[in-house]
Amino acid sequence: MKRITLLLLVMAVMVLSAGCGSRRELNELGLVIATGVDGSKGNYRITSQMIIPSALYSGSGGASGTGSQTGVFVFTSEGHTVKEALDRSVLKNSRRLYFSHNNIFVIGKETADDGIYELIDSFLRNLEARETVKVLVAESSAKEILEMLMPPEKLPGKALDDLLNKEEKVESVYKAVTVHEIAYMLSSEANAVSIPEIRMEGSEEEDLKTSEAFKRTAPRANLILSGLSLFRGEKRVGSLNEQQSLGVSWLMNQVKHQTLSFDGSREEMSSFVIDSAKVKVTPVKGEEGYILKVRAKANGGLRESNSMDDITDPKGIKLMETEIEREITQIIQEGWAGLQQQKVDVLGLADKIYRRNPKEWRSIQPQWNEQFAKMKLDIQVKVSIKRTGLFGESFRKLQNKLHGEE
Amino acid sequence: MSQQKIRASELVVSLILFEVGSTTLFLQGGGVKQNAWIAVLGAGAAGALVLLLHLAIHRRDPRLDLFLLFHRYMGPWVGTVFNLGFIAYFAYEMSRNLRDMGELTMLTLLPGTRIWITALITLLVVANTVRHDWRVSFLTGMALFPIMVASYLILILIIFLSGLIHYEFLLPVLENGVNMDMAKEVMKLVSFPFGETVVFLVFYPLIQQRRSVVRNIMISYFGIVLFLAFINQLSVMVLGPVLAANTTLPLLETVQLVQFPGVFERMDALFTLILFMGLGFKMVYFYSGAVIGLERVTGIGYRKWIIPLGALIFWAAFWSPNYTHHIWLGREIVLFTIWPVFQIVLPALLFTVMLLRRNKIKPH
Repeated sequence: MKRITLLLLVMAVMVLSAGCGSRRELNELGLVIATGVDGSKGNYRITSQMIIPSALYSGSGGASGTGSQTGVFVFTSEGHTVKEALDRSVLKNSRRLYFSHNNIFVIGKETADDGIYELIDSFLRNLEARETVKVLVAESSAKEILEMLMPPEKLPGKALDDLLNKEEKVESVYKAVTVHEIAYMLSSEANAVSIPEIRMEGSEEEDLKTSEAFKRTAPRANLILSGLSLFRGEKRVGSLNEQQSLGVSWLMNQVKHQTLSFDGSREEMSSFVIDSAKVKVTPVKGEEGYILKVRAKANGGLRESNSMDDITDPKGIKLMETEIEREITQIIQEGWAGLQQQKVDVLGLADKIYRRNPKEWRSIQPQWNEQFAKMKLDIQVKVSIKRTGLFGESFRKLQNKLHGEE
Repeated sequence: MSQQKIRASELVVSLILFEVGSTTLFLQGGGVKQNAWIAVLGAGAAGALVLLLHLAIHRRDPRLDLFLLFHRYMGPWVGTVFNLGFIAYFAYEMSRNLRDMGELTMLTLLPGTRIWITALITLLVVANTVRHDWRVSFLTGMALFPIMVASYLILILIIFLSGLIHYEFLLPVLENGVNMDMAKEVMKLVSFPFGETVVFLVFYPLIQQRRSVVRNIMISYFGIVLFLAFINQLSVMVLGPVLAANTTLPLLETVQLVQFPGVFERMDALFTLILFMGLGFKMVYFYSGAVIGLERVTGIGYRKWIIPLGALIFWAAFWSPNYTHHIWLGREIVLFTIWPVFQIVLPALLFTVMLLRRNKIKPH
């Protein structure tokens, strides 16, 4: 009997003492799914994109189901530091902000040009700010990007996250960078990092800021990943366009899957889809300075062709492989030229040299940027077309043979 | 004091729990960046000598514990002074762990709860275990050991699966050779955690069968050294040497980076679980060591000492005005000054006296 009483007592204590002192009710929480920062040192503006749960689940599901309400609410608060700006939001917002579901962090142009060390510190120091947040640089202000809806998605922050994930797997032009990766790259010997850029495309940006966005079949503006911002130290020193970013993606061995168009021997375009690619980049010491040895391998299949060569013959495939190799070489060269021009070692070549030969690295470290700008490329690309799809020779060639068109 | 004996396996398991304890909380050997593993292994080798010294003391007179040995071989006066010193040392170690526990809880789980509340609850739990006699603490160790092992295995597994490990972060190896930084890190590591096994001199006499105990202890000790070097290097390989060395809780940071979208994110709970158990065991053994010492010195039963000593420990835990002071004191100062005295100097002195007076004083 005594035992049972004791047991009951213990259970009662367990149930009661697992209390709810720090409980937070869902309807008091402001789930933040994206944040952004604008401004410069001493004067930051933080923009948060918060979910409105009721707007998400009312109506019959379709994007236009809820009529006039948008799925998110966006607000901006100011402060001298990033943390202060974030916390001052309580002055204008009734909800307790909750950052565990924050997926996207947008750095405004002004902040990127001014410096990002303070941001990184704020992330690393605070528990609720996760270092796995994906970072984007806005070509304009972060506020503007976060205020835009991304129809048909109701939650733009989530949509941006999905966009980055999908893009990385399907086209591999940009790779999402997390706060931790930025912190690591900047604290490494290279002291440089590249972050994808986002901008608004189109003319009528106001369209995207209200639920009107859902009412048009073709909104007159949209968000698009548009390039790479290059950081040396804490400041953005330049950016690359899409084509150059593609080259950098190759050099960083980030290509997982990608569609490449290439010219054939008679300037007819075909499409090759890469299923796997592997790139090895090694700085090698040459007679005059370092040479960048690039060895790339790509496998994939033909997915569209205008080729007049006989691609049912291994010889024709060989020819085509050379053409693709030429195309990839050119992409890589373009990306490399872009990096060299800006003298930003986002590939972490400095660390590669340092790891292989720390003493030598210390001696070239002071002139590294100049060395980097002078490095020559030595590229070898090996492409293998594994299959050519459901059709043999290109339709153009077939027609040409049949009807003698040209 | 009852003469309950413990099994050799229980002692070995407890030693493992004790050594792993709070070690994984901090980055060990951060001063030598990616060469931290070399520092841990080097310190492990040096620590083995310290452990062998402790075991040699035990083997010369296997029936007496640390306090009785000092009393017997150094005389009642000198012996008592040293014994009080050891009690203070154990109590201080315990208080440091208590503070660690409080700070850790605040940093990770309960940022809104006052630190004295978590520290008080922890103290009560630990004191309750100690009150129940060492047999209970050793059995608790046996019971929780599988959970600890499983937790660490899951943690290691998910870190490997997440693809966060950069093996290239291990390079370059020893770019500056073996220098003063390395020596400093090795010295730190010998004091914490390896030398802390000195508290087990209180427990060795409780072992039932002494056959091949020394061998088993040494084997598991080397296992611990390898494990600690490995898990420590894991943080370096994920975070990079610079960030790992500057992060307050590197393993937590590492765990936080693990993301399997949709399956599991935020594995922090596992980390905290491990740390609570590790810190808990450290506290239990230090607390037990200290109260048993008080019983030996005063003759008053150890249970009566739990509350007064607990109060003192609780007070000592809040000695440092802030976390920075607490860590600075613990990681930069005591490791070079106080710890070696109790872990190496006094045991060496005791052993020398035991050898010199071996003809006058026969083993008990």
